[in-house]
Amino acid sequence: MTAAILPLYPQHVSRPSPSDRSPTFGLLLGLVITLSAVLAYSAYMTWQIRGLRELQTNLVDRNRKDSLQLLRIQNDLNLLAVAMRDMVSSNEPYPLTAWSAQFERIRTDLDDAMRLEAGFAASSRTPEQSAFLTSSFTQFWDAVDRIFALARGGKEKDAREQVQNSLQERQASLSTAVARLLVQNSENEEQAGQRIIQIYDRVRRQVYVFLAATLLAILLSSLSLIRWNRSLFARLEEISERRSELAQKLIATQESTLRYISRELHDEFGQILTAIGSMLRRAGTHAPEGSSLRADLQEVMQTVQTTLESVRTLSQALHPVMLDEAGLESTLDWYIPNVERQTGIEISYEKQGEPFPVDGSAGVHVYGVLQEALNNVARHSGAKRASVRLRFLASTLELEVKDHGTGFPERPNRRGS
Amino acid sequence: MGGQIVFSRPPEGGTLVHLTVPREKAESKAESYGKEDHSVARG
Repeated sequence: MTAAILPLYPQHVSRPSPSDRSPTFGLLLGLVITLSAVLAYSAYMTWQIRGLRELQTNLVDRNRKDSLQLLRIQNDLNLLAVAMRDMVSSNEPYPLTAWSAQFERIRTDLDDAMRLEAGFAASSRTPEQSAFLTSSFTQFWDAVDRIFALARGGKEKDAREQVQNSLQERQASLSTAVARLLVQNSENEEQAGQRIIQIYDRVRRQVYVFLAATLLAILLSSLSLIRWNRSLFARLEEISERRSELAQKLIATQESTLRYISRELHDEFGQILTAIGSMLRRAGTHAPEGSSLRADLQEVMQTVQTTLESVRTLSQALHPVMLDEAGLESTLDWYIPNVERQTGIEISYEKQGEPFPVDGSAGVHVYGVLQEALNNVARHSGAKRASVRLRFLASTLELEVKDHGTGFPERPNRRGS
Repeated sequence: MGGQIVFSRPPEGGTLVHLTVPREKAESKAESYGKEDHSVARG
């Protein structure tokens, strides 16, 4: 007699590839790249903002302050022009030296304005422009000094002619030069405004690019995580299925082995022992009545009979052949009175519902549970009475084994299948 | 086989073992099964 031995392990066991095992390295790499990108972009933005601030502070603000000083100079030159017009006018009754104090006040203000303007215009003015402006003012004031000297020397007419012929032209030339500088400042301011707009545009474009790159990185990371999670859950499901399959194969193998041993004990050893008993019975008939040989043969025959019953009991305990041949109900009908006889426990057995044929595998499990439960009652509960209830319900088959013994220590309910 | 086994302690004491097997797992597909009268309880 043979038994089918099922393979214990699945034939195809795929191992996870290193890339499927953990996404930690990829996530760390992504984190480092993202943090590096944020740091680099922050440094770049700081640099751009600093440049913008320098542009505004060093160019636009200084340019504006320079223009204010140029306007101050222009205003002083206009005051000088008005004074010179009065000096050469024939309607004025005053001598030229009467304007000397006014010229000194304007000169002081102009010197102060020129000093401040030179400080603000340092970055936007060429050395030639600065030198021209300085030398022009120097020549103008030299001419003024000479004219007032002539006037004080009594040469009023010569002095007026020099004002008319030389000083007014120098003033006009200076006014023109200052006006040019004002125009240049205005142009510089306009260019700075253009550069600021360009910087804002460039930064705005880069913000969009950075945001798009960040969103893309987040999207790719999320997709990668989703993919990895799906792969992980699929693998867990596969492992769970394999585990369940392995457990089922293990149980099936155990049942198959027990069935095989039970069959061997029942069929082979049972037949051999029955044959030995028959031969001993025949041999006993040939021995003289009342002889010691006949008594010995009788004793051996009793021993063989006891062994035969033990073999059959063991065979039924391992796997009741009756379960395969007569079904669960008949097996329990035979088994429960047998336990009563062997243990001395009074067992109340009740069947309920409309019975249906029970599958062989399920019958083995139900029988195994009943066997273990009654063994526990006999060994551990100390009970003298127990009850067994088999219920055939519309959607389930139920087995209840209840005793009135000591019970088991309090623990959470154990569930299984 | 998709069943469930519960070990519990009834209020009156002792131990209760309750096994439940879904009918679709427990029922054999074979048709040859004789009906018997199971209405009488044995004690």
